[in-house]
Amino acid sequence: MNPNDWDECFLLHQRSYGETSVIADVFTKSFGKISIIARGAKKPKSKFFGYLSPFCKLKITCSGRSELKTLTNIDRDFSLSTDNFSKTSYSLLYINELLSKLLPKNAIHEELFDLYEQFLEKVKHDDLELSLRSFELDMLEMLGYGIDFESDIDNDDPIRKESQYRFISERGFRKSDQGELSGKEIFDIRDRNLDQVPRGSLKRITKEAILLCLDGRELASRDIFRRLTQ
Amino acid sequence: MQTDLLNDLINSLTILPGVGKKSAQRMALYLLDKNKDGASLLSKTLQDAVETIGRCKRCRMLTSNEYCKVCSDTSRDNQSICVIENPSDMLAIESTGGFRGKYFVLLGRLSPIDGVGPEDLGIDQLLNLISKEDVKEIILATSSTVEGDATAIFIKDHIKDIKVSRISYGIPIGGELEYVDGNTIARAIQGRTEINVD
Ligand SMILES: [Zn+2]
Repeated sequence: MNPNDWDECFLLHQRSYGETSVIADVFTKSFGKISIIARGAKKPKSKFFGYLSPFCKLKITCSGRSELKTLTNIDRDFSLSTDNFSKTSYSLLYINELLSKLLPKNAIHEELFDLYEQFLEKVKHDDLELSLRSFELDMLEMLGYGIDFESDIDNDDPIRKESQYRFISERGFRKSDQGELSGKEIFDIRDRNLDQVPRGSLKRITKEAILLCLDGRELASRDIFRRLTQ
Repeated sequence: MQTDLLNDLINSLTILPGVGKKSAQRMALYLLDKNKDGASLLSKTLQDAVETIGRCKRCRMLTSNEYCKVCSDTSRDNQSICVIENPSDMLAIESTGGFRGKYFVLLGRLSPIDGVGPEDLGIDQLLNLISKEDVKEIILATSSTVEGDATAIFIKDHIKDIKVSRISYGIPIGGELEYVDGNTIARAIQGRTEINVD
């Protein structure tokens, strides 16, 4: 990483380091998820003060050869980020927790970076729940955990529009007369026509697929989100 | 093996915030070499404090009694509660003398990724307190961070029929705009107040 090159990034998580410094996990466009140390960032006179905020695009330069880079410059367009924290922000915290836990370090994911940027814009006006589901499905695919929407897990038969299926986590769809989804609805999920699919089923599928990727790690923000009155 | 008490003392002192190995060495040598009486008093006071100071039963502030100084002060206004993140926030607000109500200390703020949830912040205890006492106003003085905001909204969401306000953030008194960071200016504009001329 050249110390003079500006890179775009989003803050995923930060924690205090010593009295005045901060260590942050950021999702950068050119290098994927990296950890940076912002020395003195908690002092009001620091040039980093007030900049490290999630949900808005930051521009940074870093230096250092070790895994933990040192933040050298930061910039941000403040005109874009004056939205107040709202209940939607809890969902954004949930997505940040997902990315913190699922994104591998130092692996470039430019497509997912763009998806995340579009998602932050979309949730401001689109249906929140469907935006979340759509992001989860796309993210799973981009991270290599995509769901197979084409064939029956038992016999590799192609999924048929008029048959009913059940989602078996870890594997995919299995034909079953009591199944909750029709083949047509499975194709609607594949094609992201999510408003055509029962929301409960959609939520269960993405939840189970994500649980599998988390490999036993818990997602705390989902619990907290659930305790809020909708 | 010979015990190295001097070294143990130096290492113990480095647990203090802002104290590195060098300063710890200086402190240890000063205590042992220059001020042994002071050192004895310090060790006794520290021991007593560790043994007797706990949490106030009502507001979770540090205290050596069942209830802290503020909670047991009958002249304070029972009807407003200021919710803060840390004991040091209470000391900061108290030093201004501008607030006559009582407090509730969360001892942190919501941070899902770090595993800090509502139960760690005693939010149930706060809600219980509100329902038992004749509280008229809750002032949320959590920090101006995403986690501080998340905490404030979470609490607000669980309180019904009582006025809930958030302290405002903005331009420091005597501060000129051009030296204030963009984020603070944006917040200050959002939280602007009407000027009343009588
Ligand atoms: Zn108290």
